[in-house]
Amino acid sequence: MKQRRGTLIVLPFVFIALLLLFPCRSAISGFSDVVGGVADGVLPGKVGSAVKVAVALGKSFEDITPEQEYYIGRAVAANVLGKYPASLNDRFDDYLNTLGQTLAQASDRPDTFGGYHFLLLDSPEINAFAAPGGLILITRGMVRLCKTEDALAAVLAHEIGHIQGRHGLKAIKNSRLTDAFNVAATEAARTYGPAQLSKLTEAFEGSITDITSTLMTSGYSRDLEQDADKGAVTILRRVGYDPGALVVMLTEMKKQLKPGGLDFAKTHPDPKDRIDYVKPLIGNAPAKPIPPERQHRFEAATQNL
Amino acid sequence: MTLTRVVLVLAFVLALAAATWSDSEMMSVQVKEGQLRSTPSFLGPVVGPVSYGERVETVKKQGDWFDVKTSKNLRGWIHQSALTTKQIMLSAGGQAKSGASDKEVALAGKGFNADVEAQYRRSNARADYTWVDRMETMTVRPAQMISFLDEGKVRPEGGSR
Repeated sequence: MKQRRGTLIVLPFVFIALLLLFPCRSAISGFSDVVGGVADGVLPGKVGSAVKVAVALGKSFEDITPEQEYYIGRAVAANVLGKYPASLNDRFDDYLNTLGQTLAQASDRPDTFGGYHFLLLDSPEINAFAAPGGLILITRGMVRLCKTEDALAAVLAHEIGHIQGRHGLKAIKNSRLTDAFNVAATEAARTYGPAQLSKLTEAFEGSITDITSTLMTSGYSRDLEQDADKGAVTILRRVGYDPGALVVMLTEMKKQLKPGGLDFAKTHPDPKDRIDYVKPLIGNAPAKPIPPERQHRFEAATQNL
Repeated sequence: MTLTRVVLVLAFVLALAAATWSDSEMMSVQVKEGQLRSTPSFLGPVVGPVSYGERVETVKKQGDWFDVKTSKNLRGWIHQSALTTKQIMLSAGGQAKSGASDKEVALAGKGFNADVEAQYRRSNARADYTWVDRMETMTVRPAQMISFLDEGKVRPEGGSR
């Protein structure tokens, strides 16, 4: 009697074990097939059904691959650089990239197709732009507003927050993506014919306009700005910078930005709103004192701006 | 009684094996240049590179990091943002492989690609790609990041190594 009960207790365990075992068996046996497929380099056939799949699935920004996001980001950055020239300051760009890329590594999305890269723009405007995929541009005016490395880190971390949330891609109108995905799905070859190429380029051009006008004119929604601020607080904390520097920066912006101005004020919610949102995320931790070594290198890197 | 015990132990071992195995999955590197690290951390020392489209077998997962093995027997940790469950085809042409759907396969270079960029540049002369190309050459090595943090007395969560 006792033994029978024991067997009964064991049975469910065996059943669960078997259930768990089955799916992984197929994963392991699929190994060699998949590797062979990469070497062949082929696209699954049935163009007709591929179109249906693309129309059904390929409608939203989520279907944009990191590789395509990379080309979108390059074009967006090229457009910003068409309006704001790069500042020729190798020393600062080195410092900016070391700081920025370290912060990006601590984000929830450290790996993008082409990686994160930062550049100083020669403009007194207070502004910063995040092009999809990791190209971040910051004006001289914005850097000059930062009094510490922690403050600059806060600005960069906010921009990284936009990239990790793929906010730029969300600005693309769905109709453009439907067009692009249709072409991509019907054409099996990687090199497109002139007609397809021109249709794709048209969708691409429209997508770039959607993003640049959001970055430079209309701005993101309040939700996305909060998402970027939340991301920034996490990044700053992980790397070891003072998250309170974000509040310091926002307070500084509140002082400097004129309502109705043409720069950051136009594309971002009132800094006061953002401070109200950020403060509870940071908690009541006292401000971290800045070590002299850190302040010294910040001042050395920014002295000629 | 002894039999029960044997079955119980066997079931436990099977369940444990299943739990470990079920994490194993084939994934692809979806970034141009990925890095395998010796620890699941953004400052973990780099073990070696993995390239776009390369297939890796996941061994286990910890937070946002996968412990993976490559076909060249390289093993290390990589962040989930560098991986996709899709299979990435690096070259076009040839015959369709049965059994794979569009949901599982992505063809590298499809859609918005270098050709589209070239076409776009021809009709948008104001877009300045010179500095975009230059920006992309500005890369910072993991060792530089660690000394940058050390020198500035920036103390990351969990230490810098």
